[in-house]
Amino acid sequence: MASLWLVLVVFGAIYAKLDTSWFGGALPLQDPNFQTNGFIRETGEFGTGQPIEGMSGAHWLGTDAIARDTFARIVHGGWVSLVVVVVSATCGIVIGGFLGSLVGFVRGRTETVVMATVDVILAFPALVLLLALVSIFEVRNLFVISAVIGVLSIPAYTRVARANSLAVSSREFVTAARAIGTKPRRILFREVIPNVLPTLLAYTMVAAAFVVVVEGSLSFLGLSVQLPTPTWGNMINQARRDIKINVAQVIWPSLALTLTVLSLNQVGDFFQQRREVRGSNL
Amino acid sequence: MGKVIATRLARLVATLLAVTFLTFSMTALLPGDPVNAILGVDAVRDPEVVAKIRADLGLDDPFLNRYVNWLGNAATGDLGQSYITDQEVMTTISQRLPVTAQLAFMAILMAVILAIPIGMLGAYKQGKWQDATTSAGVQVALSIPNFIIGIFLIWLFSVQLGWLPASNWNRITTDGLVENLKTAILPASALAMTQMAIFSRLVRSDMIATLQEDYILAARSKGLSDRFILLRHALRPSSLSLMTIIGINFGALLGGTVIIETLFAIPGVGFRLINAIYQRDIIVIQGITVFIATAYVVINTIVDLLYAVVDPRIRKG
Repeated sequence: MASLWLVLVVFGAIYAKLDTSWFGGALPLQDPNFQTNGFIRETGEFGTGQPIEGMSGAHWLGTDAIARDTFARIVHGGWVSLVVVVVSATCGIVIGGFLGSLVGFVRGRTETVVMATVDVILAFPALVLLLALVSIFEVRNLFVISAVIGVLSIPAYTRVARANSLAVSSREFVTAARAIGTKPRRILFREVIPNVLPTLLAYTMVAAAFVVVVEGSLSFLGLSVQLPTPTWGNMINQARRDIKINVAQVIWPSLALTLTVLSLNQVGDFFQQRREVRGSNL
Repeated sequence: MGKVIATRLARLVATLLAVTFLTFSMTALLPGDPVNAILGVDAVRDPEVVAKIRADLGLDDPFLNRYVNWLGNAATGDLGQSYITDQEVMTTISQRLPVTAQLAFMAILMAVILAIPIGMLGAYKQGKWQDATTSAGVQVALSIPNFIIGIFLIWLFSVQLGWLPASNWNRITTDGLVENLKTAILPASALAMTQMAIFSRLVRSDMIATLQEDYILAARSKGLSDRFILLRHALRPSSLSLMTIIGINFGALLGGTVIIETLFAIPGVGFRLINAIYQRDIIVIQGITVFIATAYVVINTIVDLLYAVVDPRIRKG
């Protein structure tokens, strides 16, 4: 169930992105920024859509305050979350994973310096540091947002990778490799990192859930990508102003966001439990 | 004990130095001239104002000098002054801190009060339907972002039922406790939900481990009632880990207050931070960030120390 929802969101986001940037909106999904009650130049008339419509065949989840199709906006909204998660996971695994594996293996002064830096960054409440960093940028586009979140993801991954690298580095096969004179670099890449990676991948799911919430919070505060780009967070923020008239428009993006976080948490739990079981069998 | 305190305090000072340095250097990261950022690019340039700001910030000094100066001022409680509202940052914080502190305190209190029975139930009925239901509920509570909880609390209790106000804040000092709680209960509940989920998970797993200990078996064989064993023997060890996790989660809670205060328009520190970000009021952003980070680091150290006071094994080690 959980992974099914995640597959749906990812597929929808990529499909929506392809639709707008490759096919010029020719694929069957409505334009997320098209106002269905707006002026149509070709016909010289106004559209027949209504703001804050209920569910219908034409608009599966109704329309928002300025008569845009909510379903299309939710499908498109997944794109921002997806990009942020992918960038953060890549930064985390590649940079954080490497740094953590390295210092857990070589120890010494490098470890002290790297872990001290990590500790300082983790000494900030995550969201507050993120807000402060984001506020520096005058233009907030997807690149800036995902880069900032990506960089801030590194310390946590480093810590997880180091803890595992420490454990792996003291295992027999590493000692054996040392004893037969394998070069440290080769041990690091051939023995340590491959054994740290699975745990790191399980952690990625949990981290992704956190990142989705963080991006949602930024969007909700209007500090993520600029409007009219749809994100679940900014959809919730826009719809909550009309909550007295219609709660459904708040429910849909909230549901999308919550289901995604819930699914990521469940998949993460599943992987982590499997890791533990496998670890205890060794 | 003295040695433990000394190392912890040394670490505290080092972390604080690094944290303040990092926050301070963010202003140096600003693209272009900080004066532009403060005045806004389109602002009419009064050379006198520009010169005053440059002098105030010591922009012509080397970076490290500036940091040391700023740190010296910050240590004496001077975090500078907003160029937009003309208010001292420290005054702003001290006016707003009680509000944020009350919210955070209420949230933790509510979370703990709810989490202990839920976690205990899960552990006591491990594997039964009571455990399955509470675990599922906790997992869901853990996955709903707090601003969504907040919005639906507003929808239910303000829009539908009309029992509680959707925004605003009544102060205890001027409006009395009841009026104050009316405005505080919804935002505090929104904050408490996630914490409750985290705490009750911890209590459950902790207690499952504790219930397998020999001394629980001994207590059972003495014929003590389940209730007595749970409350007296099994709950106590869990209080330690609960304390740690409260400390660790305090940072997330502070981040949460930023959003929740904005959602409920509560005049706390977090709402001020968001407004400062909207106005690009760099001095205030920097001041509040440093303040929150410092508070977080100090609280974690206190929790660490308390831990050492309570648990003799750590005191010796």
